[in-house]
Amino acid sequence: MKQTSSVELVRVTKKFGATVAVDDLSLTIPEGEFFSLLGPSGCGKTTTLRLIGGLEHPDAGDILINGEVVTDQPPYERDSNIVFQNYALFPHLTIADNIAFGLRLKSRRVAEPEVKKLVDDALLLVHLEGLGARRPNQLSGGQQQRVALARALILRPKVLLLDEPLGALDRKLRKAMQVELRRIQHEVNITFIYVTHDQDEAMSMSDRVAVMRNGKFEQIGTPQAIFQTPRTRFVADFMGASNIFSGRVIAVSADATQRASPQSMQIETESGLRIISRGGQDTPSGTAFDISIRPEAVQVFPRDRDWMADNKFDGRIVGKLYLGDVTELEVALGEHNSISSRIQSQIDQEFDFKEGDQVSIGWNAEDCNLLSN
Amino acid sequence: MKRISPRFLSIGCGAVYLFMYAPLLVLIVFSFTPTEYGVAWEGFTLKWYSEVFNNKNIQDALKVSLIVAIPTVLISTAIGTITAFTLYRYKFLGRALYQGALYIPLVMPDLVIGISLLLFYSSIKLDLGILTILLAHISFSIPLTTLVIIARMQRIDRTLEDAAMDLGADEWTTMWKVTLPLLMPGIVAAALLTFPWSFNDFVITFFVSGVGSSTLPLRVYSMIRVGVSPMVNALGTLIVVVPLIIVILGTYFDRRSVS
Repeated sequence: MKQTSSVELVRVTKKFGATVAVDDLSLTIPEGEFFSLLGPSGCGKTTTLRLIGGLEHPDAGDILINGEVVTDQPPYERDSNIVFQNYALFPHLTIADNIAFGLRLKSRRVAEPEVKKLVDDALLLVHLEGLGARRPNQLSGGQQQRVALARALILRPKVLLLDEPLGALDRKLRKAMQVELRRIQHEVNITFIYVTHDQDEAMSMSDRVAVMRNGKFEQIGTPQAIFQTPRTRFVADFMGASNIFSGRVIAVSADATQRASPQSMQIETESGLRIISRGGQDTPSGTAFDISIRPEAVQVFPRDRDWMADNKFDGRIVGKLYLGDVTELEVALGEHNSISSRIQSQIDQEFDFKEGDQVSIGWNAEDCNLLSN
Repeated sequence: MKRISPRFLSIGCGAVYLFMYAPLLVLIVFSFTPTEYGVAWEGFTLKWYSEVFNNKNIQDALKVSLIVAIPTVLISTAIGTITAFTLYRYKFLGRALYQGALYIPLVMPDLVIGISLLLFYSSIKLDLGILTILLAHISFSIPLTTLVIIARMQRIDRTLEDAAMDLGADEWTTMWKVTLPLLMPGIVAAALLTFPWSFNDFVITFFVSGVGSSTLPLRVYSMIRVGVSPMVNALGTLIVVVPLIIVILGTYFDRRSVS
């Protein structure tokens, strides 16, 4: 059975003058998915959202909502609603009137008692019961945020588009709102397309994430896939895998000298490090590769400790950063290389690592992730 | 470091306000004394005020002033709103030029505007009268209203209109339900500025008025040419105080409606 697609982009391009904001994008989002567009500012994620909402018109390509081409429809005819980054609440209307704005339009013809009931329900959904008579400027940022959400959701759109809705909130409130958004999405079962530059936010909420760069998708996948196996250097870097090496394959082996991977290869990096990595099928010697290793995968132990790893080096701690649950260690390997490692702070305390300590550092072949250029 | 003493500041400040308002105070004080030509206080009277209210010339002039000022406010505010909308919203060739051209009438000497209007009216054979005054006032008020409304428009968050359209309002509904209500303080401010702008104008009106179409400032001018009567003081006091009371009441009700 073919699953209905909620939103579809077919080779969509949008230019602003000479800059290409969205570059030949194609994408299919199934119904009910929580989909995030993740990327640094200026990568085209907000433009993509505005194209779906109809606030921008593409220069090329088509946009479909529920299988229907809406490319030439104005925003007010589309079955999508936006939650804006700055909330965009109407300052001259009360909270209740803001939420009822869409329902009261002539095109919808909702009777007034029905409007009242729906507004009350919406206020309940976002936990703002009793605040209907206030004005937007009398509410806190978090409350305004929820009004914006209620105002969009009350229209029961097929797609809800959220443009960095939590960007202006403080950390604690943001965490709470992330949980809240997830709950609401399950409750209303509407497709959410969520724009953010915060990878943690995208990871924690989404069913799928698209990492964007220069108007193109770098990688689309589940949060786990993007986190663990980034496909490009950009994604690896953006997802916080700070150990990225460029190198060449010097040997490929299918034998089982390595513990974990049946197929592995040896790579020599530009800075002279020899690393054993998973993969290597049909890879001729000399092939150039970038590899990334997540700091969490890198283990650090005192020199005298006996332990096993596919890649094991001697190094010296040159930096230490306490981050709460985890501690980040920067370890220099000889003159030209350094690797960062994240270990449990508990382990750090056990070994009492200090800057300048001689340590041994290592990781396994399957923790090496090959990047394509 | 040397500090400026607060006393020095308050004296300086007081001097500035005295300089601004002393002449006005003198006018108000002498409007209540019966002396005909003198400058001495000779007891309290309201006689000049009753003369103002009974003077047919002044009443006629006031009527002309209002017949000019009220339509000027309405028409120039409406045109100003539309002009502001066009200049702010749409990109077209020479937009910057049009916007810059709005400042020219504001800095052009009234004398030049008056003479050019007079020449223009006589060249198209338009008889001088209330109509020519009205047209002149509307033309010099439009730059003012447009600039005030553009200033307000620049402070409106464009995403509010995006939001309205996203919620299902078409362009017209968005304008009526979102843009215009948000623009209203600017429109009201423009109207409030335009009224005295038109009501007080002397120089331009002097050139474009005809027989029997004297506005209040023109009438006062012709009255003091035959000698300063304290009736002019009373009239002046009324012209200053009545709008002042209206403004104070307006602010009071405005504040109350907000809280």
